[in-house]
Amino acid sequence: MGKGSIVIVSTGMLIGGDITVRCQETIKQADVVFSLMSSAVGDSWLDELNPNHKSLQYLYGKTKHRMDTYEEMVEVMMQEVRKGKKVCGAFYGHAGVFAWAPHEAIRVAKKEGFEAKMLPGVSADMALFADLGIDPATKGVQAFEATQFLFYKHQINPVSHVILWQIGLIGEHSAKSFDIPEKGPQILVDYLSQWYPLDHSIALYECAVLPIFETRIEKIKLGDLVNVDLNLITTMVIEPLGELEPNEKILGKFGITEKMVGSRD
Amino acid sequence: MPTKPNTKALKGLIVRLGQEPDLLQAYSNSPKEVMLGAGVPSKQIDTIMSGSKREIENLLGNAYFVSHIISTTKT
Ligand SMILES: C[S@@+](CC[C@H](N)C(=O)[O-])C[C@H]1O[C@@H](n2cnc3c(N)ncnc32)[C@H](O)[C@@H]1O
Repeated sequence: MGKGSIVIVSTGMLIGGDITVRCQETIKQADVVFSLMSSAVGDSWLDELNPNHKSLQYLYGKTKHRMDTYEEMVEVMMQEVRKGKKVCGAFYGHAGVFAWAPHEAIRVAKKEGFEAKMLPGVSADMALFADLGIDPATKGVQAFEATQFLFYKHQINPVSHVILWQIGLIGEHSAKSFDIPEKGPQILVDYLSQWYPLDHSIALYECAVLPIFETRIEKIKLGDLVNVDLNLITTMVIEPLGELEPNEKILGKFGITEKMVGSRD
Repeated sequence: MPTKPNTKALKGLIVRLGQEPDLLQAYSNSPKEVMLGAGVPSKQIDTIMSGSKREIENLLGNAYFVSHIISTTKT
């Protein structure tokens, strides 16, 4: 048996349809595949691609600290790498976006002298850009983990789009629960009101991971956030407010005015 | 305890719907026929046709999925 290795692959959002060719081939060719999918359909799909597939879902526990779960995921994968196996870790979306365990597996494997790499994929925000018609180039995009945004002093740039991930756990500080604290949405609304009026437009986004379901795109007013369903898969988008403000000082350094930027004249 | 239904044909079809736009189009037009053609048992077809997301998730075994969360607020 050769030296062990690990490749972390991304399976995308839509099960079966979003995966890249190289991610799929990596799954097929691995000695063993560990996964975290967003649906049981994903598990049976991976079973078909590689009979040596095991889900890591069983490591979650209702009151277990999530960092314990994530460390165990890394350890379970690493045990096979140390045995000399070609290991594949398959994670839904982009395996490295808002996902600690896949990055950690690579860090640990490299530290122990094994070959390790991650392959990218379609993440929730990439699907969101397509479904909501947002181009990050237009006014920029900021993204935060929703609870971290509340607990730490991040600064919003209201001119850009703002994406808040894990809004369905807003204010959940223990890392042991999958329930949203009742006051989370209200505290968020109050906090955001320093940048936005309460009737400012936001969108709640849940892209369908199975083609038999509909994608949820619910446009509401910021103040109504307290009245809507927030789930573990909900991502929140805040629409831009106001116009881009020219930086006269920098424009001056180039010897131009804002009118000349992209002008056809 | 009731025995778990065998959902292999249904799950296989759902994966293909995500991969084959023509099949998805056919499914949008006549879901029942496409499911019958893929060998999905009639009871499962009824569940899908009911449109009840909760029942469909139960049938597929998605009810307890929390793997959506693989990140903490601070590491
Ligand atoms: C731990 S992160 C994992 C993200 C994943 N690695 C990706 O690439 O999208 C979980 C968060 O991703 C977002 N997310 C996951 N599934 C989603 C879906 N189907 N639609 C919209 N957002 C989703 C939500 O913000 C959710 O709270």
